[in-house]
Amino acid sequence: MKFFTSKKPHYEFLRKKWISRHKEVSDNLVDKHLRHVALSGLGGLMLLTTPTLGIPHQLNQSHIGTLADVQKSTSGNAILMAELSDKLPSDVRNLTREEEKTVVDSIYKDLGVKVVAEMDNKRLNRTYGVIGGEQHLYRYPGDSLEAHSKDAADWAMFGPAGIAPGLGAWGYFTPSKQAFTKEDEMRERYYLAVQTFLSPGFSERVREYRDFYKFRKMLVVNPKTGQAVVAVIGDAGPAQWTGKHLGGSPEVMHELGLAKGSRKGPVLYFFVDDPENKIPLGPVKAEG
Amino acid sequence: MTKFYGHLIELETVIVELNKLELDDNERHHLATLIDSTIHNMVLDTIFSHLSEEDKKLFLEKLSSNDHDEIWNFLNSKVDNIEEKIKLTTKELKDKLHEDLKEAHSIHRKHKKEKRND
Repeated sequence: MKFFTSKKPHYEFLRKKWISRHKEVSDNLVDKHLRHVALSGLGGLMLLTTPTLGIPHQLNQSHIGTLADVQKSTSGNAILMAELSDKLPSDVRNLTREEEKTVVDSIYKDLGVKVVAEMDNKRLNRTYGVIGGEQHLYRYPGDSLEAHSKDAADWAMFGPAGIAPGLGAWGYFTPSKQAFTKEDEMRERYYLAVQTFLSPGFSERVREYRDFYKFRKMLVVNPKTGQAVVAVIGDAGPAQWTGKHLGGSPEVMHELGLAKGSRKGPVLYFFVDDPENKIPLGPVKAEG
Repeated sequence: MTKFYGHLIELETVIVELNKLELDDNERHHLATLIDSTIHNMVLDTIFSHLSEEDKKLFLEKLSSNDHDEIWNFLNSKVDNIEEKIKLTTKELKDKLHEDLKEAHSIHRKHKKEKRND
């Protein structure tokens, strides 16, 4: 007779042991130091600065960005997914201008983000293509892969993608660690590699096009799930022979729901019309 | 690492071992979150153990500003060798995490062997 056993006893072992240790450490912290502080009227400040006192006993699935999350909590994305299902061709080909306009209108209606296929008389070689997972990029001289992570959780999720040996098309994101800003950090976190070199007119006006594309903000949408992310162009590529049309940072792939398996899939990508630079980089989760 | 003590803690070897285990994203993230939380609370415990009641409140105020320079200026003015004390505390935890991961790998191998024999 077989008894029920965990499918992953190694996970259960770590989970129980680490929760127990966390509880012990948290209780100790409160008993030894924080009870007096809380009683002195600084309880709010204490909670603000020590949010980790709450024990994360349960799996938190909200960060994973699964399709179920999209359907439950971000119905604007779910509506977009449904609308796109009969507006896109069955094969991943370049869209016609009419098709692009329909998609652009749907994105604005469902996600509230104004996007365009053409800006300043410039357009990429396509707006519907296959994205593949890229590695992290060096952001400043002396940067390391570990420095990209905010904490262990971040490192566990995005560290395994590794770091590209070479620099992006525009070199470092910033010339030195001292000059490194939050904006630079976000740009590397949410970056795309697009085939700038294939855009019509590029070879005639290389410098103008290069400057236009540098850190240009784009919206990428996974039409199969409605998941969307705002990112910047941080690199040029991939090469045509790869069969892929653009690349996404580990974080971009995660937010699109394409971080697992083959780490590729069809996406829509358009310039974000954001002249005042008000739209933040990162996932777009639209309430319905 | 963007926590004010991030530069004192090297977790790469722990995460590398964690990532070798057969875990899905939720499980891996959950375990990594437990590591982060435990480290954070241990660091605070180490710091508070060397501060007066009044300084604990001042430190919490500095902490809420998240200005790393201000936090370190304050701590260095109040506690001798605070960075070394934090390093020592977190090294002890790191050693324990490695022991746990070693055991988890052993459980994992045993479980896989049992599954093959079923």
